[in-house]
Amino acid sequence: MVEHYRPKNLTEALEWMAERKLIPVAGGTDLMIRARNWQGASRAMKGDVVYIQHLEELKFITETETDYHIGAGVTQAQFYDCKLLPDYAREVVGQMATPAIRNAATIGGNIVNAASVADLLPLLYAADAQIVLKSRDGQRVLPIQSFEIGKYMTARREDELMFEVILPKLKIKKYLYKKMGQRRSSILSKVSFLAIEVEGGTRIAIGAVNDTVVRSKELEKRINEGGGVKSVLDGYKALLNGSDDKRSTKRYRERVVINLLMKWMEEKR
Amino acid sequence: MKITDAVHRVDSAGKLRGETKYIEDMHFDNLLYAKTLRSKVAKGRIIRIEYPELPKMIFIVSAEDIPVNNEVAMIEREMPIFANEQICYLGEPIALIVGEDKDAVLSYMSKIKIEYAEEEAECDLLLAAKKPDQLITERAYEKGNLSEIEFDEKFTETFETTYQEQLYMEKQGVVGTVEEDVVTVYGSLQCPYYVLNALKHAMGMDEKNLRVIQTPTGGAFGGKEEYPSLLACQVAAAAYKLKRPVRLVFDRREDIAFTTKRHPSKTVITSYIKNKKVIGMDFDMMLDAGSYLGLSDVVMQRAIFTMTGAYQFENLKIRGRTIRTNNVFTGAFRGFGAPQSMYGLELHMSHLAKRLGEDPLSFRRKHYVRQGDLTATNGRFNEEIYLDRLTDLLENMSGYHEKVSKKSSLTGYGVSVVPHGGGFTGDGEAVHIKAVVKLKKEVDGMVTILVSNVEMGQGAITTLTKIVATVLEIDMDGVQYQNPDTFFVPDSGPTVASRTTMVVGALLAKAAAKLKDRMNEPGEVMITEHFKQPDYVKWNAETNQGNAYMAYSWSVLLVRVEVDPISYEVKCTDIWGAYDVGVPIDEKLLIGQIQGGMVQGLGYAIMENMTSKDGGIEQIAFSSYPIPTTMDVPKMHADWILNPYSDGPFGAKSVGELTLVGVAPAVASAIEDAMNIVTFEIPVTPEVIERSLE
Amino acid sequence: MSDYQYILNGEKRVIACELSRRLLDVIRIDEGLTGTKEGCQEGECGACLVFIDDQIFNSCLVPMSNVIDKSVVTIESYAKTEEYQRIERAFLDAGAVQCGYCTPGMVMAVATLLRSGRTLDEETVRMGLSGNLCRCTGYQTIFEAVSSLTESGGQDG
Repeated sequence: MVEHYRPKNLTEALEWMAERKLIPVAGGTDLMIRARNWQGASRAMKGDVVYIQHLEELKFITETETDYHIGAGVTQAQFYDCKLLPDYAREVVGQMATPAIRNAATIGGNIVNAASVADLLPLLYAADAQIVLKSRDGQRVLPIQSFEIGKYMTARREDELMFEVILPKLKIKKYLYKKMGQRRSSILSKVSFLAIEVEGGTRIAIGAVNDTVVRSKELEKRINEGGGVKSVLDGYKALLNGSDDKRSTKRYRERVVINLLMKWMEEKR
Repeated sequence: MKITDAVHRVDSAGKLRGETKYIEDMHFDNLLYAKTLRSKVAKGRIIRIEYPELPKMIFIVSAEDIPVNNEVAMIEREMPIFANEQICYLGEPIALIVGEDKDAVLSYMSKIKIEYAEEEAECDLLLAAKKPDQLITERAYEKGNLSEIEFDEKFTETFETTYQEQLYMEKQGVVGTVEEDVVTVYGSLQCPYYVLNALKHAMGMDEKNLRVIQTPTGGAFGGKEEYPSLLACQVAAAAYKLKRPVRLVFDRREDIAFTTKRHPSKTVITSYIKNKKVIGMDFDMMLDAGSYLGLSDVVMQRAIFTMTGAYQFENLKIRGRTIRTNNVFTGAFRGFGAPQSMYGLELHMSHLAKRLGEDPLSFRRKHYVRQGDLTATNGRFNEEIYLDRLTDLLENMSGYHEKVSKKSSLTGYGVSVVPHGGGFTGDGEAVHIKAVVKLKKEVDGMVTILVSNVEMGQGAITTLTKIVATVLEIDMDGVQYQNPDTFFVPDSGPTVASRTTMVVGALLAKAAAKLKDRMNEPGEVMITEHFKQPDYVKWNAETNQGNAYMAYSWSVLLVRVEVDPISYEVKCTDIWGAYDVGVPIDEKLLIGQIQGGMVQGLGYAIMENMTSKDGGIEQIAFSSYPIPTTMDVPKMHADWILNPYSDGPFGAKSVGELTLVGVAPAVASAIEDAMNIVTFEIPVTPEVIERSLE
Repeated sequence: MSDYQYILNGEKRVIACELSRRLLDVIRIDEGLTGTKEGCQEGECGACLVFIDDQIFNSCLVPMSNVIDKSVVTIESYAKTEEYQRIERAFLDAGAVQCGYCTPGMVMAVATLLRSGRTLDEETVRMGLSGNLCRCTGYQTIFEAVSSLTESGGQDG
């Protein structure tokens, strides 16, 4: 029998998670699909569950001089509607899923689920975002690259909850975001590409191709230094290691990434 | 009021308010729930099934519980209701596990062990086609003398299409009940009498003890034509054994993975050209029938009998084959073979026009059939044909010539011209269907329509009610239609082949004309009308010669697309369509069919990519099988000419399937135009475009 | 047994099931309100849309834990409102209903658009309904229905 826990507050949630293995469920838009079952039957949860959607402590969007702080329980709709947040980030969220799903799905869920097609991740990689995890015994702050360690795998310990994402404030001079799917909305990405131009130069993050987001500071440096186009393209090509699947092909994804890189570099000149 | 003037659909308000009860919404006392135990291999024999001891209130219903014949009677009887020993496809039903509590059913199912002797499955159409044993049916016919004609050049192309899933929004569902000595099946279905006939064969009872009631059907598109017969036999046997109502409603992934879908096809077309005109064509098509023949041979007939489309080609050599594989069995889907053959023919015609340096519409006009011409099968085109007028209409409404001459790069235009024959192929209406309709004046003056044709979203209730009311010159409120119940309605045939308005509507119009004179009689009046084949229909089923269809509807389409040069994503911005459907019974219903068909055709053309791997469909969820959303649909422009058909009600011909058939080739051609590429397969996904750039 | 409560169509309800039970199952099976449909079972089709605190949600993905102390409204209750009456008439006039299975969910999404206060240009309508799949109509009659509502300012007349 699956046990269900509904904490009164974050402290209680962390207490319980310290004592037993619990699967956190927020908006349910991913876990309820994975637990899908015959209409009316019990959901096929893989273990005991802790519900966290109602925790007020996780629902905040604040800013400091240098960063935005976005609570893990903020929904995609709240993120998209928040005028405080920068346009390039809101645009990424605005293209995710559907209006009704965005009302339920949380920012934390998309990040912790760590699907290779998660559309928030290229944004967080490009922005050098940090993930804050809390447990009964304290908190950890991890750069997004260290947090996302594989397809559906993160560095979150079982006793930890994601608390917030820290999105650095960037002076964006220019950005290019392109999400490609099998249709124009409500679709999992075949390629999710974000390039931004900030004070330090170009940053490029490519999602949905490899298991985790592709970002190479070395190649960005080469672009910023005006290195040869071919060497940059070859460099990225070498980093792409996805394979054919039921949604697309390796060949197509590579070609589109190359096209987008070329477009970005041309416009940069 | 004219017959073409739009009215509110009779069934819409209940649907809007959520009051309409679909099969999943209906309440049955003492209901049991059934889940299908399925094969985990695509081909093999079942060596042993280990059923754990049955807990209280869990039941198994399998082959041995079928009272008489463990066969689904369709055209053939080769498919078992439950697998005996032999497994022919992945997911083939072995048993129903039935219980009051769904969790208990699932828990029991998880403990069942099945041992198979797995055999090598044949899952590739092209490989299977090379093995004589895999051939199920083959049909061929000729016209003129292709082998002896003189020509300037010969041009061969090969086209491939993949699966298309109907993706009706309401999943497959049936309920079986037993009351006294009557077994009743309720269900979301298109053909109550197909189901009844299948039940008779399986249960060994007659129509006094077997009853089929169609429930409001949330979309079907052919997917609920033959498939529900299988499910109906299963729940009938279950209810009969357990003496309680049993409901079987599929989960969505189960529905996508294991129910019939449009046949994958491969078509080789060779044109013989003289003086820039096609004087002969060789057409060779194969369809992946999957594990059982089902309706595949009938689908193939429609595909090849209509393969010359809107054109007169003097010399023909035509062959069609259905090939057996261990893939899921394929079946009926709006268009019924024509989407595959017309995709090949029409894209080929556009390729030919380009090759010969001609405008694709002008090139087609040179070949248009006319009234009195011989059809591909040496029948006569009986009715007036206005293809030039229809093409003029399309050119004018779209500003065709100016648009095409001023087109910018990455923008493309494509056209298609297709017919679709209404009703059953050949003499099928007279020989196989023999439709009977009844019209009854009740004591209180209300008129009741008694037919077995169903409402599945296409507007049958409104259309048929309107026809009867208009003939009787009474308000539509004075005419009622109830969901078909075989205890009360005669067999007016299945709700398929775009026949409901043209064939059944015509019979009702005749019945109404007879009733009109008797409306003042006291008491009940019952009028019965039988289908009579028009004299001009002559058909020889042995030789495939004669009038393949009673009458044809026509469409001329223009499609505009824009292609993203970075991602090769296609945006279809506009579709213009000019139609000849005789006289539309209701303009809004016609528009509903046109737009729905256009968008379903657009999905087929560019995004609905469905593939099978080792016998299993790879895209079995809404998230992996994309159909068009609101963001994907073009602006749709439609117009039509009035060309009354003498044997249709108020001059109406068929509509439903036509609207889908011509879309894919026009879209594919438009994409080619935008990107300066040539393609030979649908869907034309960005991946296909990228590959074609070389 | 449980102190968890929520409001369903204006009436207080005690939650007596597992907290992971889908809102859709509670509505359809436990409450017998079958106007809300199950289409895809995974949040893609929108046939199961309901309002939770006036916003649309795919009830097939909402665990009961997430409606505690919230107000859920289904089509049965929404159909009694004046706003609904306007939508119904617009859908009837435009011929925007075919098989009807997506329709109650579509109505809920249209209601959200009407209430959003945004100008309902074509792009906004398309985006707003992008989570509601319809296999019958091709959507254009639905766009026409919504646009007829905005032409009359969402008011009668």
